[in-house]
Amino acid sequence: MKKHFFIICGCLFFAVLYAITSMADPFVTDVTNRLAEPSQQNLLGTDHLGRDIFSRLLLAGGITVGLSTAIVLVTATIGVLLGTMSGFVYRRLEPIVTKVTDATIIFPDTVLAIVLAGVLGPSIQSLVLAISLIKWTSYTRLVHTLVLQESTKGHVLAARVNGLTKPKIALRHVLPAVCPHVLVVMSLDLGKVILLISAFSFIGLGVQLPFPEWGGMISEGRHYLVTNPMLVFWPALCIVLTIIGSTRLSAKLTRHFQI
Amino acid sequence: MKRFVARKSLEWGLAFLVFTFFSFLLLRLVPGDPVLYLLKVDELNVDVAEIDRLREELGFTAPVWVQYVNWLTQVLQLNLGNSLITGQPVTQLFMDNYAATFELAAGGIFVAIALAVPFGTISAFRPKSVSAKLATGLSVVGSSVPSFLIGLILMYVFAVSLQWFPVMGRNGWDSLVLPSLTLGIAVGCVYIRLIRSTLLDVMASDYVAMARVRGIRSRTVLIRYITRAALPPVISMFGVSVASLMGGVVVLEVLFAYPGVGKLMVDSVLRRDFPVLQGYLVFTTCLVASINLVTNGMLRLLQPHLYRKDVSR
Amino acid sequence: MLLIDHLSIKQGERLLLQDVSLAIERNEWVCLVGASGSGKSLLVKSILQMLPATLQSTGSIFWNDQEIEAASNTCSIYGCEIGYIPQQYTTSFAPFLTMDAHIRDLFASHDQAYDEDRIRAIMAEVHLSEELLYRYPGELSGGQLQRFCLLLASILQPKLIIADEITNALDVLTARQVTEWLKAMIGQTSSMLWVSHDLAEAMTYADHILVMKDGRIVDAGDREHLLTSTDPYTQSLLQAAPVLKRKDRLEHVITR
Repeated sequence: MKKHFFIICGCLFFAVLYAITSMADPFVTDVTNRLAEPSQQNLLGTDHLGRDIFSRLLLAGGITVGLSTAIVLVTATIGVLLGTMSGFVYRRLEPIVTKVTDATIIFPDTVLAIVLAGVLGPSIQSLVLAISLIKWTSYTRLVHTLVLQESTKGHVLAARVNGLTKPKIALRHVLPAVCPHVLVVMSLDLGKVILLISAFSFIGLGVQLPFPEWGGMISEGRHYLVTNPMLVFWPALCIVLTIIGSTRLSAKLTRHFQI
Repeated sequence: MKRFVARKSLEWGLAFLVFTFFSFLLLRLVPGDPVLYLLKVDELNVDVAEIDRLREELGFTAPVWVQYVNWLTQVLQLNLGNSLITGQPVTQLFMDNYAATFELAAGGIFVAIALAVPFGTISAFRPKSVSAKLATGLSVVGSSVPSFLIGLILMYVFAVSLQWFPVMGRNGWDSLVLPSLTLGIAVGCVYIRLIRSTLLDVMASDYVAMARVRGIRSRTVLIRYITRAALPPVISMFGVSVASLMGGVVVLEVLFAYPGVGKLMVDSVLRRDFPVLQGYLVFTTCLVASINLVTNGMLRLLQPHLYRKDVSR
Repeated sequence: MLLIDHLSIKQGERLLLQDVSLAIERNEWVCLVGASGSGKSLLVKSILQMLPATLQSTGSIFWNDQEIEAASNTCSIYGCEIGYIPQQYTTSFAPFLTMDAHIRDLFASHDQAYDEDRIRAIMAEVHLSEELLYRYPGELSGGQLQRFCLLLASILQPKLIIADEITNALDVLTARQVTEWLKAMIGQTSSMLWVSHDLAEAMTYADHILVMKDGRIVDAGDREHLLTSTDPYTQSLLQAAPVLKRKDRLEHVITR
């Protein structure tokens, strides 16, 4: 369990480590030292503008993983709140919530991301907004169904007979059964959101220059694929390892909670 | 049935109105003035009268709802205005680009099905075979490697090193091979796991065991019981996948410089070409909605028991 | 007719079924009694070739002097010569097929023409109205589903019907109704392997009773044999069913 959590947290950890020690500035270009071999100063060498690859990788990891974690946490919280409200505590919300989630669930996230990028200008803010706008509906839907299932079970009925208030029952009897499922989906979604941010940065609609992003670094490095394949290899490795970490985490969680 | 159709079409009509109004508003209320973008004021010196004239010409001075009604009547006549950059009619632009995207999507779906169905089935029926292990490996790789990376690798191997296929662009079928292969791998790998787990669930169910005990022929069990029960989750997921392809295979189209809708949209976003963006929103919404309709129809056929309301229990 | 010869089933090193032999003759009502976990269901499953792959079985099962194997050519026995009434009747129908489709599949798979008259006759006998035929399993009540299970197991007039604890979830009167109906229907033509944990029920109907404990058959014989049996387990079972000691009361319950 801990070991796999490490893979994801590792990037965050290194980002912090970078900030503390501040090895090489990821923004400083040095044209005389472009496409350099790995050395003591530049652990993984430099890119086509002479920027340090290692520190850029770390900063990119911090940005991507941090943003994805924030998105997943915020949307999952909204989903849990709304789903529990509409499914158990305040059932009158149900028709509205289900209508809205049903309508947005079929809408592709890439389309919304493009349109928002068009309206607000291509930036990481509009991408984050687009992903969040799509994601909260899927969490709300998931929690809503789970809560509906859970609320018919014996212990919930018993609690109601015993005269507990609905919010209290939701907190003590319904949510503990719902949370494991949400955690598993969250860990899977973390990988998906990272993929989406990388993909959009790759086409230039995500994290904007001069800030580094793994997808953006691949996009910049692909012109040097034949001569300097390492420019693509390192960010690619980072993405793949992070995604594998997230899927392994969700598999572990599934086994842990015995879903 | 008549009432059902009437109610549904009313719902859809209402949803269409609300949605188009929002998409209309969204692009009118953007920060930044499209007229200024059009005239590129940063580079040229344009006098205020010129800006106002253009604003009048584009109909930006009328009240919002008048603009909306005008715009909607034009949309219903399939006139989505002209691109601010090239001056081409938006509908014309979309016709060309959607054709390209459809080709790519069809190729990708073909590869995905050819990959996912056999591998998913084998790994469910023969979990210890070599192909099952290959399938597991493939699904892990496919779901953790981003599609643009797969594309980049394929491009490097088959187009740059071996020179079997063109690196980018769209001419002839051979330029379609690499993008659709990439798309197929990226999409198909998700389905290997989905098909496998659904099949395992279904095969473990009591009614399949009972069908065998009743001596139902194994062919019948496979087709009428197992496949039929396993299809609905796969189809509803597939609907979502196809719907997201309809918005353009954005990343791969950019990577392969393939002139599809996704590429067009990324270009329009970077140039702030609002009529094209607006048309895109309307077009994809209609496409996504109709795909959803088809998916629901198929699910209705496969699961008739979930849609019967006239039977008392 | 059905002959089980020294059947043992192992899970790894654990012995689940130990050297079980039994024979069911034509028109015989055989009852298998035992506590839960005694291996009754396992025995039934191995007759039906439904054992999970993780279990290893040794010994052999014969049907009309022919060995039943997992091979596909013997599959035609099931449904047509051996009918099975499951315990979980609610989940034993595909939710997306009508009851009629289930019956049609059965007839088609055994190369028989769809016999509407016979279906109607049986449905009338078990009090199922005809419109229920075109409903989906989710639209039927538990009792109706169970009667459809009886119908599917018996429609092709099998030589042997295996009933796996079918009266467990039923109230006394319905249980009796179901048992009586089965008795009347198969009395002349078929044998019955009735699995139950209720010795009282077994004593009422069975010609031959087998008592199972911990994967072994510890006692076998007819009603009189069991009442006077010296086997300690059988005796404890008899004592646990006090109603048998006062036969008059049992009759009283039944007739009411």
